[in-house]
Amino acid sequence: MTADPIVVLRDVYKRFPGAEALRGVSLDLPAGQIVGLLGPNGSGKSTLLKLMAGLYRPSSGTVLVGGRAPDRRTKTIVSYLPEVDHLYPWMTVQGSLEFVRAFFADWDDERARALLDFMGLAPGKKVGALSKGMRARLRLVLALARSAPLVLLDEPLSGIDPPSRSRIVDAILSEYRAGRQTIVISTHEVLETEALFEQLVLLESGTVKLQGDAERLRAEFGRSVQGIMEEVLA
Amino acid sequence: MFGLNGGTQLQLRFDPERPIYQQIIDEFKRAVARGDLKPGDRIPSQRELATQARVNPNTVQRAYREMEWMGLVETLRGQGTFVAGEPALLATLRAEMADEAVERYVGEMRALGFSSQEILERTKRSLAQVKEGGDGNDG
Amino acid sequence: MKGAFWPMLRKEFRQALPAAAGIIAAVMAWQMFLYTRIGRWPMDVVLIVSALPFGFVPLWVLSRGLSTLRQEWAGNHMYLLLSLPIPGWYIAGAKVLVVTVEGLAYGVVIGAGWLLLARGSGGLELVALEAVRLPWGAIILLGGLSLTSPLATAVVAQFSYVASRLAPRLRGLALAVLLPLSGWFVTRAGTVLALPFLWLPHIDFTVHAVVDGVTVRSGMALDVAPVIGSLLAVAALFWATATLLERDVEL
Repeated sequence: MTADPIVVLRDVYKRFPGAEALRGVSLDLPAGQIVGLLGPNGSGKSTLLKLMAGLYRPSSGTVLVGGRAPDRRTKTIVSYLPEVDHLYPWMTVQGSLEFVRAFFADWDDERARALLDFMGLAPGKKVGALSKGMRARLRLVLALARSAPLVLLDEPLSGIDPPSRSRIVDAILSEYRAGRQTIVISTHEVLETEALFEQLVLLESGTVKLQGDAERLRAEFGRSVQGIMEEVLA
Repeated sequence: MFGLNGGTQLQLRFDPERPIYQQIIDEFKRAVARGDLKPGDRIPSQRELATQARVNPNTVQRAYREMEWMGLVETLRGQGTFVAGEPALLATLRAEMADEAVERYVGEMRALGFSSQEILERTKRSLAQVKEGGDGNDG
Repeated sequence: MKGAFWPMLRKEFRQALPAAAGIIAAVMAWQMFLYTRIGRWPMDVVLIVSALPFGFVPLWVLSRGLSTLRQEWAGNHMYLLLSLPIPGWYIAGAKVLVVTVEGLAYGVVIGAGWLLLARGSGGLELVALEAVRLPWGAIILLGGLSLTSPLATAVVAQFSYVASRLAPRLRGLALAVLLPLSGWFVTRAGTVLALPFLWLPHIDFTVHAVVDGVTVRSGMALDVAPVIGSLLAVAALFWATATLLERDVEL
């Protein structure tokens, strides 16, 4: 898979009043892999994903998604799962799906239905009435019901109950189109995602500390991804 | 990992500290050496294994490719992946794995400072105990 | 995606329903209360008081225009809206449309209520007549109707809020400055943009009133050019809002 990288960052800075979330990040993300974006809370993972999704603009430096700066066009190939509850609580589960589906040509109805089933979500229930874990499952369904070339999942497992976590990992894996889809998963604890990642990017305090092939790094460090994280981000 | 029914019973016990694709290959070899997999048996498709073991599909692909390159498996278009039909495969693999296991064991013992004689003694004693304790099949 | 404006509009409408329904219900309750005052209070007072809400309509529209946007950020819904591959005017347009319709609805409900009360007092008397008899009633009525129409107010509110989001700090201050500034812009630019249209004729209409069997006619004239000018200014502000939403605004 030596095609063009799907995401390119060159010397990207992102500053907020009183904080510098990303400092000089340069990164090439190869297409068609599951990428683990790892690092402690506050390391800039979320900010990085939001830049790719076009929700933030860099303070300086360039961000390219599919060769373009994030705009309306790049948003058609990006499926973004935020860490927060972003759905309308007054909509039903089915209503949320129908709303999002109206905007994306790559929406897959069958897959959406299958995922809803798999996640145990009742179509008629109001989003506001769902538990936190169920809302997280619904968000994931929305992110995976499309055949988007770039899928960005921001802490999909954080604060989620164990049964939901397993479901989420299983859903990600079963829907993944190896080679044709790039999935970037950000997390601060590796646990059940240990064997999922093909490519690792370790962030700390807004800079990239390490990037590379997961298997190669396992061999080099003689440690698990969790262990590598602990060692590099000591 | 590779069950008798070609993959429906999968228990993943991989060591996250070592390359996973290598462990898949090793486990495959072990399954063949044990007789759980025979030449011509179908093994889980890459997708099945990836989903059930929760491993990146590309990692599984890498393992399968190597196994194919090593002559351990063959993929028939539209039908799946099968253990290579080589009759001598079983014997070869068992021999290979046995040699590796012995080398590892001897190496460890030597590192602890035991002489060849001592190693032999201890091995005999251990084998005798196993015979008494059980039928040796479930270790 | 093509045709995706309608789902956005539907969503806006449903989202706005509770608040709008609340305001309308309050107005109706107020009108009904006033209905019970017929005979107890002087009729003039009843009619003036029932027309009072007209004066609030621009304020309500302004507040609604601001809040429909603010709630998207406050409820983290911008994470969803900004990730959609749509032009900025889908969001801005849907919101402006809904808020404008809300404003018109308020006006209609207030006007209908007022009309019913006028009837209820016995004998249909029209605006102009009331206005003649009660000058300050006319001011409130006409002022409320002709003051920045709901559309312009909604666009001014929207533009101000969206533009204020671009400020890294002190957004509240930015908003407080942008609101009167953009309002001023609409009137100023409206005057300037009206110039090429001054040759257009007036629209004349007369108001008939029947008082004690005698027909009274009052003529009123509406200048077209200023209206066009204002609409153009509003369109420019709307275009700016849509562009900011698509290109510059962030989470």
